Amino acid sequence: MNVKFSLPTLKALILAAIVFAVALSGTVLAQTTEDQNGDAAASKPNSSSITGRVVTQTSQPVTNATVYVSRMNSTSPPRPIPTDADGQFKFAGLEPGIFSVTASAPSYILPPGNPNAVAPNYYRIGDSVTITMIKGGVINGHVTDAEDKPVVAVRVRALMVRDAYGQAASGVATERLTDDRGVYRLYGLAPGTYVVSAGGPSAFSVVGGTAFGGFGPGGRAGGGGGGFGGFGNPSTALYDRDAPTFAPSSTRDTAMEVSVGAGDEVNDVNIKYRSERGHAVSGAVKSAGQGMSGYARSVVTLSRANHEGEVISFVTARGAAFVFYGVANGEYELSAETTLGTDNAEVSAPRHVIVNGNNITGITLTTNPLASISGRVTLEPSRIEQCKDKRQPRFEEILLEATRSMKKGSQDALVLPQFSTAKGAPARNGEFLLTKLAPGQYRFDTRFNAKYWYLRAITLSSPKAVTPAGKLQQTTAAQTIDVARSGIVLKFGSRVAGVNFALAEGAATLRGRVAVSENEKPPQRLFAYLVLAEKDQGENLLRYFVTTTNDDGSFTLDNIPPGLYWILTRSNVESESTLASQLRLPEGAEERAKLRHDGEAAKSSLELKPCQNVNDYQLQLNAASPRASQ
Amino acid sequence: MLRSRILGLFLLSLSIFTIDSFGQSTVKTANKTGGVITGRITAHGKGLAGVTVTLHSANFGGQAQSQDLLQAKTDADGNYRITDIPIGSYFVTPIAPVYTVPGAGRLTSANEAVVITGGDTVSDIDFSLVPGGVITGRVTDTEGRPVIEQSVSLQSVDQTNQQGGPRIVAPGSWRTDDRGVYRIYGVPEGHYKVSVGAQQRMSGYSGMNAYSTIMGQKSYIQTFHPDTTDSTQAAIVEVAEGAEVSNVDITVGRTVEEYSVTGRVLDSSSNAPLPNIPFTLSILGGGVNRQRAIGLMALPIVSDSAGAFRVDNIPPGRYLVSVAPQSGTNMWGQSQPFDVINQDVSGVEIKATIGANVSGVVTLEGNQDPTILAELMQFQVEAFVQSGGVGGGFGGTAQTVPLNTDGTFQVSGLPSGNVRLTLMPQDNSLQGAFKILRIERDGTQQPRGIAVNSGDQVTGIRIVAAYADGTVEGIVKFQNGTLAPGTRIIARLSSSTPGQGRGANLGAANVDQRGHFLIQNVPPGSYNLIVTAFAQGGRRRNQQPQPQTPVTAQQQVNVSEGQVASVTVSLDLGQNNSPTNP
Repeated sequence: MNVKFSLPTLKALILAAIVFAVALSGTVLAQTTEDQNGDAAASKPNSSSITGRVVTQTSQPVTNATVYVSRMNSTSPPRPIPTDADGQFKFAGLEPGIFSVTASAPSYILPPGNPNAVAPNYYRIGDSVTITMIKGGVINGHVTDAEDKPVVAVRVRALMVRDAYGQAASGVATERLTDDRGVYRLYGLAPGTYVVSAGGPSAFSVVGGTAFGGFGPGGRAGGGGGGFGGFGNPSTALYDRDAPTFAPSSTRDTAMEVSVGAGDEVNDVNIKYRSERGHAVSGAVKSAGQGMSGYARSVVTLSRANHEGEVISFVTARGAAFVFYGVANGEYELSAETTLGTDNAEVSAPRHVIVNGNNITGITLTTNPLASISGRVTLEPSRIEQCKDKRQPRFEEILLEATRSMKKGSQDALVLPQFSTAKGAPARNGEFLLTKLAPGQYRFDTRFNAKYWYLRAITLSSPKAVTPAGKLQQTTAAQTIDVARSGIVLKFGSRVAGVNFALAEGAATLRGRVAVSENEKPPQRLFAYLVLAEKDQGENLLRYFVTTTNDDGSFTLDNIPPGLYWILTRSNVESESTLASQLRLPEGAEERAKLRHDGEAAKSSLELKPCQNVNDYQLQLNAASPRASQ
Repeated sequence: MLRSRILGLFLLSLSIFTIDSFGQSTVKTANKTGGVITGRITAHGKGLAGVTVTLHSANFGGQAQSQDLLQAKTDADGNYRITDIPIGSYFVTPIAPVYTVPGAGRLTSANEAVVITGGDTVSDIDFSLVPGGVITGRVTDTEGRPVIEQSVSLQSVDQTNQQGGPRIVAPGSWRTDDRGVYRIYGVPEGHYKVSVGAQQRMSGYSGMNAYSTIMGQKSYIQTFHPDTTDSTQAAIVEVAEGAEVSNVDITVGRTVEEYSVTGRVLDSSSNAPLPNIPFTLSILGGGVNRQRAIGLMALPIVSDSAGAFRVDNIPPGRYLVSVAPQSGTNMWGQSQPFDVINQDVSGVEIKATIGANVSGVVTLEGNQDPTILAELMQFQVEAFVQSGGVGGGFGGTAQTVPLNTDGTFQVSGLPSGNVRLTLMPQDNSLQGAFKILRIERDGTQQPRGIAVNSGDQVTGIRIVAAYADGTVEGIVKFQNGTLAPGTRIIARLSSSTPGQGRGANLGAANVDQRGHFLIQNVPPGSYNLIVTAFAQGGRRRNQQPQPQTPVTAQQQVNVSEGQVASVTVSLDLGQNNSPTNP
């Protein structure tokens, strides 16, 4: 069974999905309204809302902004709320969970994220969010034909090839049609480097879809801007089969690159249209698994080879067949993703295709089911006096994350990177499900906002790995595996059940600053390490912590299991950061041993008691032993 | 009436073909015989050079457009020549968006039906266009800030629509840019009122307004150039051929008030709350009582653990909320209609019941070739339920299910109402390859669909399909008069086999101005061929509506498997002038 959504809804979903892709780390500030110590479960007014404001960089309200809140693991699309005249918004009636909040406004964009940012911001009910937006850039110009006549109602597209930090961009394109003078204007562009092209199919093609329900004439998805009234749009259809012409009058390889800064307007990006027919690439999507029962939707993506972010176009295949038109000569990659319900997906490995003067037909993309990990989160409250009356984390507000670990020099990074991580929040009963994971070895992380709790262990007991064939596989020794250490290996179709995240009460918090004399500035960018000092604990990886100090020398570490630690500093230079990232990996064994040795030598021990808050720790600089040259 | 049903069929098929126009085609009955179409594109008698003239398939519900759009460009004198045209029924369309059709009431492109039945050359398919005008301006709010991505619409002052109301030209597709600037071109000469924002009265447009506000965009109350919400005070913009009217600026004021609607969805028998249910919103309009659904949208919300739901940003209007059909949920339910006037609405209740279940089998009649049977099994069954009473009309719900390998199917979670079943291909190249001859329920024909109530388990449905590879090719001879330009002529097949469903679309096609027509994808059988000529609609303001009785003729025709049946029909153009006709 499938459902016919109105095409405007589909467009909005695609738009929202693209907005999320861009918005990954916008400038967002969360102010939690729980009191500083997290003590006592206070019932807050408006505790089922998330509120906030959307502003420009000069704190003016952004007009006509729409804010989207999306609940992690929710089956429904992002919920939109308009802002009022002052840019304020309020999402009421939310149930506990982990939410992402983003905004869109015509011609505005979220500022490009800092590539060093840890993660997109997540919110909980009761939070207040300030979203800053900046004016998007503009590219304009005109399109003429071989006789210098204006090309009217042709689709012009700006595709970002590199973002503001020079990183490969995620294939976001903006499209509009030229007017009667052949003039186009693309606005709301995020800062970055673009290529501009005219002609060719829209990025939002739906093959075999029918517009059912919805409003008004036509009901075509995508491609905004002035166009024809009436049924369909014969003008754009005229150019849809052409290979796009890139500014100034080129193929993709020799396309001019246009740099757009925040709020810039770049004029005269003119295109002399070449009117070259593109080729067709077609085939079908097949499932390697048991096949798709019930409703399934496939999205096939054609992207430029070796530029996986440069997506030429999507086609949603109805049933199994797909076709891309207007494909220029060149090298491409095709991949398919089939969604079966909310938790199941199948993907195909990227398929390399070379178009060289001919149509390509009969391509079969075989999809394999992605893996899932399920289990529960358990809470172990403490009976110690100091931990009395402290707030427990709510299951729905605990963020669980599985990330594929990349071995040095492995090719893993290139295979299905978009499915190399999964996030989820448990349900009210503590059970969780992380889905849509590509094969690989995975490690885990959690984030929760209960100050006095810590992650004690991640285990997999009596592993009941279910093979893709559906047979139950019991290991001979029913033991408990320390998943924090060994991770979990997934293959296509793996369904690993029985993973347990044990959260225990009694965490300590450590706040302090680097100890410097009166007039000295604290050294910039240090690593502060807290490493396990108890000898008989073996190598409990969850007892190793690292953080960077702020510019003023201050630092914070929280959710620390109580016990005895060594505390030391290392300067934050490039060679150190790789080691810091391996702190909790088996590969970091040597590094951990070194840290423990240095701590012992410096006698910089620190005992943290259950539910203790250390607020003013003076962190001594170590005579950091220089790294032995590799 | 017959006329409106055919027009409805025409329009529905037209929209299907436009959207599906990128399918691949395997034109089964055509040979590349190299038909030719020639003509001239002129504006005020002068040839227009460099205009692309295209052919679109005019196959109603038949096979979709081939990949290579047949087209040609006009030469310096405005002449064009399209060659190598396979047998088929086409629309010839010059692509000249800056131009418009003389006397047109709205932005439109000219097109003409032409039928190619062999290696014929069809000449003099000429188009006389006039340069359209341009209206441009800037939309700002009371603080001078640009109003971005709002759609601008033109209301014709010279012409009214069929109901005598304002004729909306170019709704929806012209939007302001980041500076608030809009530019509408190809405008027929005449007088217009230019506006932005939600139209209170026009039911379809207020549906569009509800859609955008619910999706989080602010909507302004309809404001006319220069700055009034009162259409009688609107400045009139005069557009001459080829002229540009600029500075048609609009200052908008208030945005449309929006309200919240809250309610619950419960199981109707146990009254237990139902969590995780998705919803659709029906916008009701049409006439004083506003009972008919004129728009439908899926809502971005689901019910919470207490079965409660909340929809924000709803503009004033009349609505109802229903359980959205979704795989895995067999529930169906609908609230009572409610009005959003000037405050939030609470207490909306949906009592959900198990939806109806329809199951049956698709069988093939006639040629039992295993390849053909295999193709049929690739189709899906679409069940469309037109709920009678409140919320009916446009607001139907549709679900599509695949066929099992033995041709059986099952659709569940259907609302009560009248279920119409159709076959949908998964692959565009199979579009139109099969036609449904009849639908039976336990042996009895169901020409008007299958009536179901919620909770019903309807079994024994048989969808009898036939491979549609026959063709009817014909000529209409016009007598007793000449064909007025702009007359649309349709040739339609209706089954003359007793018991075949009247509603079944067994084939229809345009008849071109020479009287040629080609109906493809016809299943074998015996038919009544009905040819009907309709005069064009639309009239000038202050004119009395002229009742135009369509002119028809009928003829028997038999079609065999895979064969082309030829037929000639005489159409008496003077039939309605005879004294014996009232």
